[in-house]
Amino acid sequence: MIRSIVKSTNTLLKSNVAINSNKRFFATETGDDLLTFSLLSPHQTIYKDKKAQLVTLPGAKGIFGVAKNHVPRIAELKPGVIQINHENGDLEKFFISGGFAFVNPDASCYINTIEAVPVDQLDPNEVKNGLTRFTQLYNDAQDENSKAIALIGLETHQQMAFACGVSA
Amino acid sequence: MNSASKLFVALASPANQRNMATLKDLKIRLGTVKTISKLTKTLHMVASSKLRSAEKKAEESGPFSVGPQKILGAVTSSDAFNTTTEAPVEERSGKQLLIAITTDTGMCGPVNHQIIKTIKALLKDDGKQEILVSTTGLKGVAPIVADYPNQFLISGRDFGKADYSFPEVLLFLNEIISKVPNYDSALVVYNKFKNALSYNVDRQFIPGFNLLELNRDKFYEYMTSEDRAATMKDLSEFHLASSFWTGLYQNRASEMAARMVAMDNASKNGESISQALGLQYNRARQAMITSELIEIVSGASAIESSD
Repeated sequence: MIRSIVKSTNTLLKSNVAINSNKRFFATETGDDLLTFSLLSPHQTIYKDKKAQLVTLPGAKGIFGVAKNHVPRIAELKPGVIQINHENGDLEKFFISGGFAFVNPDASCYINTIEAVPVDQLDPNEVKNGLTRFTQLYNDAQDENSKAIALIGLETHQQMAFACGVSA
Repeated sequence: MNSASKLFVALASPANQRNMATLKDLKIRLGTVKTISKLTKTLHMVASSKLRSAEKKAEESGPFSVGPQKILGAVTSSDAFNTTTEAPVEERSGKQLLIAITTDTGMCGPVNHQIIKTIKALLKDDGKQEILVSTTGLKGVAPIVADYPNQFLISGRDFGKADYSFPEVLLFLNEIISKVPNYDSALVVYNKFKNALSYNVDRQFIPGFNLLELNRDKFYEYMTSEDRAATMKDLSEFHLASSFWTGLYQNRASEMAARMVAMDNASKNGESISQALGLQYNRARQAMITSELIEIVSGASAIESSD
């Protein structure tokens, strides 16, 4: 009731986070405390409607975790590590190149990435090479455009280096 | 069979009424039909082997568009533009991008025809010329350009010849979007694959940024980053890319299924025609031999009787 009144007032648009946290508080659904998530890349369906305790995502504005009854959210992802705490307690890590994550009100989460590889498949030597190459490119870049491109490569490789424990 | 043999009698050059020429024509024709049958049979086999992998890919790539569709699927038409007095957040282009997926090569039954028919119906209803068409594949270009030259944007040839790649898809879409960056909405038209024997035209509506903003009450419950507008704009484009991506694979599977059926029919037809032609050829050959024999015999008897 309160929620519907609030919803109809446009002025409170900005405070929708607070509204949803109410909803979260009043959630009465019982059953398992698991999140249903799908990890998808264009060429491959890595997980479809899989249960997990917690999924940690590299959001563009900071890392955040998604569990069941998370606030519905549309988030852009930047290159980084996705960490999945599986139903049985196993931990799995993927490196993704960015994309979108959708957390729906029905406790389902879709993670659409462009590329996703298990972290242990990253080659530390290649990452190191890439890091030096893009640092070079970034330093040599003349105009805005090539600088931006080099920066994307550099940030991606920094994240990869962080993920597989390589120091530059 | 009877009508087939009549058909080919009529086709044989009427100037050459002499047996030899007709016989030769028939032989050439028979050869041609047999070669074509062989080709169609090969195409049938190629298509049926490709169908299996295409089907698998269609299934694999299908879920990729589910996430954005689940959220943006709430907006299914651009009616909000007509009912609101609110000023658009960014300048309106008043254009709808129609991206049709067609194939490069033909011989795949009604796959492309169905798409073109759907687009033309849409264009016909579109009095204000709001729709801009772009296609992948060559087969969609000519029919659209012929009738609506001003509403054709770009086409991508040799698109995904070996396999589609996502970066390539993004480049293609970028080309379109850079021409109309503030599209009102987009529509992806493709053949949705059901099974090897059936597929039908499907369209996926993608609301543009302005439309999303007008329908923002539908997304209230979703939290975004502080820069909501930027996220929504990116989301609209991402939805376009993911829908287009799944559409491509659906269409590829439909194409292969249609080609398989079409080529199977063609080789069956070819077989029955070559059978009919073979019969006709043998008959003509026998008739020729008989008439030659009669000529020889009657000639001999004429000589005999003149002695």
